[in-house]
Amino acid sequence: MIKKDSDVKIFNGIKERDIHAYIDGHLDPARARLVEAYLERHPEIATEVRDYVEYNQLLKQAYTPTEEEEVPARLVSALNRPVRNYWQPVMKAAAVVALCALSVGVGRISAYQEQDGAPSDDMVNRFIQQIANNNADSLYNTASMDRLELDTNIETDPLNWLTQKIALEMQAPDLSSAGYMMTGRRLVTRGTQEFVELTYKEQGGGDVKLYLKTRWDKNPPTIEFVHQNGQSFASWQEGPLVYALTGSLSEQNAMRIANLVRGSMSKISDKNQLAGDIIVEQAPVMPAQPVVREGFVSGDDAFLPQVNVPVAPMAMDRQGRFVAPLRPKNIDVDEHMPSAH
Amino acid sequence: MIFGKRDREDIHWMIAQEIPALRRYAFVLMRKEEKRDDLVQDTLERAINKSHTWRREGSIKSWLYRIQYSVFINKYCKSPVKEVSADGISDDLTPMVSENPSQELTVECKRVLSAIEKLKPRHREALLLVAVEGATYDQAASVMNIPIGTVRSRLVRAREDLRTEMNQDVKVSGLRIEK
Repeated sequence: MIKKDSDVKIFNGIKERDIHAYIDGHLDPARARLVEAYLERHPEIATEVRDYVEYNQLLKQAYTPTEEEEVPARLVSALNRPVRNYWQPVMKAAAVVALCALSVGVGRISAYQEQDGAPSDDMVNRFIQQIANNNADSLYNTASMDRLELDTNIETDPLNWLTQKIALEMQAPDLSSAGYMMTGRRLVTRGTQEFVELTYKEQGGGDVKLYLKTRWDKNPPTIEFVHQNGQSFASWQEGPLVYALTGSLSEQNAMRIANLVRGSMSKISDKNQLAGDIIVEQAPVMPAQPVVREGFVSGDDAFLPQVNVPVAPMAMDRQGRFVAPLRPKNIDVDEHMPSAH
Repeated sequence: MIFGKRDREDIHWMIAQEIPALRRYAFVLMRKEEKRDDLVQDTLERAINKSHTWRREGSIKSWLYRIQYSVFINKYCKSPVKEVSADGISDDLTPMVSENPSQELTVECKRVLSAIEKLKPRHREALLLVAVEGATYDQAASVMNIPIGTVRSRLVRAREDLRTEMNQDVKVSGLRIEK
């Protein structure tokens, strides 16, 4: 057995670490001869060393065929496109809406160009301020929600489906077909507004900057609350979803559950650290204030459960379609909820 | 460090040359064949994104291995739930050799692949990095982000355990190996 302590000299200055380096072929010839001399005197260790050398050779043989296989095209193409998962953490922080693109130096948006073709810092600041003041709703593109093809079976994995809806699985936009490659990204702050700025560069040309801003409302939502016939109903809008909660609850418990739902849903955005050291601030979950209404404002009887059902947090997407991703298994609440279509 | 277009093209070319080695190293790290190229793709994307951080110190292969090992540990080793196949046998215990039926491996190769699956993962990774990838101890330490002494101790333990497994295998199967 080779000695365990690699620092103990075992023969003529040779240490255990020399024997392993010999096995791995990392010794210079002179030192290798010393090891061989030692092994000649210790046949049992020599047998062990031969075994280890053989294992090395066998392992190399076993793994070599992989290297000789043809490289899949997707790996080659991975070298020529933006990172696949780069935006996932941002998108999990909130639904991000691409607000605007600012062309610098190549004349894509001529209105923002000076005569020499490059905008001044003041122009950039004014432009960003304009974005900051803009109502994101007016810019919200519902097509971006529909753009996602559902590759998850909603019947078997509704939470994944909801995550997709929230996260949108957006990638850093690929502008390579127009000759632009992403060369930089950073967080830009204007007052309380924060933007992620992507810079694309055209070969031999100028830059294009793309600003992205979360739609996340930093103010706590207003929870619409109704209590009737022993049933509580609470609904609110937060992030990209509308929530509706119903159950046989006291008003106090309904509010507590509603805030638990909000806290739980916000955890998906905990990982807001972007690759590339960009951090997008997440709206803190603040206790929501209820607005208690007399009766049902909507008058939608379909929304009124006639029997007691367990708490079933509901969510609705931007098209007003309900999804029921948060319900516990084995509880059928669909019959009490509006149709998804 | 600011890279020009030519520098970027050079780095992309150098990275592309290492794809076969990265696939082999992914084969070393991952059991599921279909996941291996995912690991390589993640590695390549990260490498391209981080290419400006490469200081041209050491080989680009070591740098790529370091990225790949980091991606492997952080992304693919996090699930505490072991995947269990229909027959109830954990995939973690399935010898890698079964993933490549097309390979024409010798009986001895299959034996060593089967035996190495029984080693502790970190020990196995150290051994394969050195034995298969030809990494020096300091390169392995850099890739695995551990001290060189830890690499050596893992290597020694891996070899001893592998030998025990191989000898055990011989006793069980009644094979006699002609040296």
